[in-house]
Amino acid sequence: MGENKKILVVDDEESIHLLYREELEEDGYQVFSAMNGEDALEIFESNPVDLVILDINMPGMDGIEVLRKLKAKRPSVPVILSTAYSEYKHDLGSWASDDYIVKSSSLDELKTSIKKRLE
Amino acid sequence: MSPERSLLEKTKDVLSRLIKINNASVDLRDRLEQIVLLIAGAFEVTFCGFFSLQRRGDSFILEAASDCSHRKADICCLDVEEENLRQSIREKRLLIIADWSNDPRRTYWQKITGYKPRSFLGIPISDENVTYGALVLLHDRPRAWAQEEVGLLDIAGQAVAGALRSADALLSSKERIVETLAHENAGMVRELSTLYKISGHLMTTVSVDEIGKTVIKAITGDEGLGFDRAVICLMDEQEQVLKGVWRGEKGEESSARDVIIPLNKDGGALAQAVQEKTPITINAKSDPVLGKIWFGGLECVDCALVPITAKDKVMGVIVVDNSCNNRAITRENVCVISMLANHTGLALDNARLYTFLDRTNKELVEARGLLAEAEKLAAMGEMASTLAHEIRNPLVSIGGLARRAIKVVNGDNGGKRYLEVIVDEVGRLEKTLNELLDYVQEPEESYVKKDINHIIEECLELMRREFEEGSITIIKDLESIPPIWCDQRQIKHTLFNILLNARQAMPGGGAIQVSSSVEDDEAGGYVTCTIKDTGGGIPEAILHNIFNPFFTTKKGGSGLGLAISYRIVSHHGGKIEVENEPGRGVAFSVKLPMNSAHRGYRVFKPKNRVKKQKIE
Repeated sequence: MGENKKILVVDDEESIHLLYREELEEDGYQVFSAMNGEDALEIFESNPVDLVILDINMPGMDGIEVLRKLKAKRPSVPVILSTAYSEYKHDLGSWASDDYIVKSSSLDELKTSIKKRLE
Repeated sequence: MSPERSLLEKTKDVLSRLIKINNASVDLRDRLEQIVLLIAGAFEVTFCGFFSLQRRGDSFILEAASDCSHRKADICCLDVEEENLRQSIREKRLLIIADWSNDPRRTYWQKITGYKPRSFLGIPISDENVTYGALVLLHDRPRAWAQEEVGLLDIAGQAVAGALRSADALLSSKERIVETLAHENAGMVRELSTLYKISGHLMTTVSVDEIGKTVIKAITGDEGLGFDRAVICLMDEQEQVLKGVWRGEKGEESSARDVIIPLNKDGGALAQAVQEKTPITINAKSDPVLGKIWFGGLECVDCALVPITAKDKVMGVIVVDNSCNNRAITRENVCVISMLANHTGLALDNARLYTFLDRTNKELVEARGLLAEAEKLAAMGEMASTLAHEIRNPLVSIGGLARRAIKVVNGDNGGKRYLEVIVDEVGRLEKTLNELLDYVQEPEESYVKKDINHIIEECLELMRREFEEGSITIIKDLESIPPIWCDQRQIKHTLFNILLNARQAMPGGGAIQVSSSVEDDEAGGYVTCTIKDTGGGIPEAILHNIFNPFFTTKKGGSGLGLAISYRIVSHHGGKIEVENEPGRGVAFSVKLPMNSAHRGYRVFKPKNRVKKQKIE
């Protein structure tokens, strides 16, 4: 299903990684996990990642900073912001991410978005 | 020099000096003193004095004396029993006693002069019908009086009479002037005290109506300025007309709202008084406009038109006349009315200022209330945002992993059912969290021109299946309405909320009537969308709570649906009206202004906790 596309998940929560990895791998994606911005950039540099799922609030480098650096390296790779905050949704345009999804226990919305970006 | 020659010289000298004295000084006492000094010197006597006969005729008063010691005595009375003098005066002839040494009567004079005179000469001073008194000459030695001397003294006596007469005339004319002045003053004092009282009263009231009534009373009342009638017109700057407000006759005031005077040439003298800012006195006959302001139509009496000004701005005009007694309007009348008009202007300006302050204060209190609400919401938003992150992440994990667990659980040992409950409950928690955040967060507004009917259709389409499943009939009654500026997403959210409530109020099915219409009003009109259900209505006891956040009657409801809807509509400058029929149903009307200028302002905007950065 995922045609072996590579997805990088950046989040500081272990349980989110567990959930996302299982769900995405089940759909046939190859999943990379980063617990912070620095790790994320390192993985992004050394792997041909097709899509990034990025949390905003993280210790150290925050998601916006990571987004800026990712886009500076490979602007064509879609980045989906996935966060517990809904209020930043309206600032999406200025942040230049590809989508903004409020985290939910149902991953349907996220999966739809991923599918759309990787078509 | 021969004695004749010297007497002639003396006569000439005395006469010329007498003329000089009479011409030089206007002060009577001054004149008399100069005359008695002249006489005493010219005739070489030890004393010369003028005694005035008092009005009651029983005593004399020494008014002027050649001897300094007597001048200082203010009043020196000579008993009228002094027979010599009385006689001389009565008979209007000179009394001469050349040698008085053996006469006991001279003791009177000793009291006055301090010595016993030996010689006495009294000259009555009188006019044809007035007796002023007598000039008395005394000498400490016997003295004979030549005929020429007596003649000269007679002339001197006439000079004294002349001085007294002119002084008298002057005095009486002065009295007359003073009396006239006093009379005029009394009028002026009365007017001034009326003005004072009125202005005191005017300055203590801030009610325009009371000011007008007070002024009318002051002009036409018995205790006031005494005019027969008065009308007060006030300026309407917007329409550029003078509008009659109060009318008064004999202290009774009534409304003069029927009077409207244009401020152009059709306004006649009234418009002229406003434009020139000066009072005008005019006969009503010569100005047809003036006739309109009274009850009785055209009159032929003088009117005074006095502009009411404050800070150099004309606020209105006071019109007065004397229709009953036809008294002329004097310059003084106009002056007094002008003063009153000034006070009226100040009082009206005060009242205007007060009204302005009062309104501003109310607005301030209101704004403070809004601000407090905004701050409360901001605090709530802050707290909710923080909580959201803390709660949402674990919820995502719990719910997400429970969903996964359902997939991997084998067999029917009940575990799957437990997991399903967990998934459902997490879903409910997440929904509540979203609604809470929706309420506390100011959504980004994006206004577009949109036909509300389209939004209604979209909502109905979204819920079509839901309505079908719930056996709910939709009755549409959509009028053609012009597009209005609105946030499409928010209005959709609002209508959706109300439709959802209607649906939930009718679990056994029913009908929802959706209508739209346009209503005109002063502010440019409203577009109204009404959603009416047959769900039994809202119990009266809770009706006032329905827009409160977190108030709900639904199991599992967040209580935020209508609260959010209410806020959205308020922000659009509109309102939600509820028509409740307990037992039958309820109708919610969303009214949105067509004029975008009435759109509300943003109450609250949450702080972004994440710095925005531009991506190069």
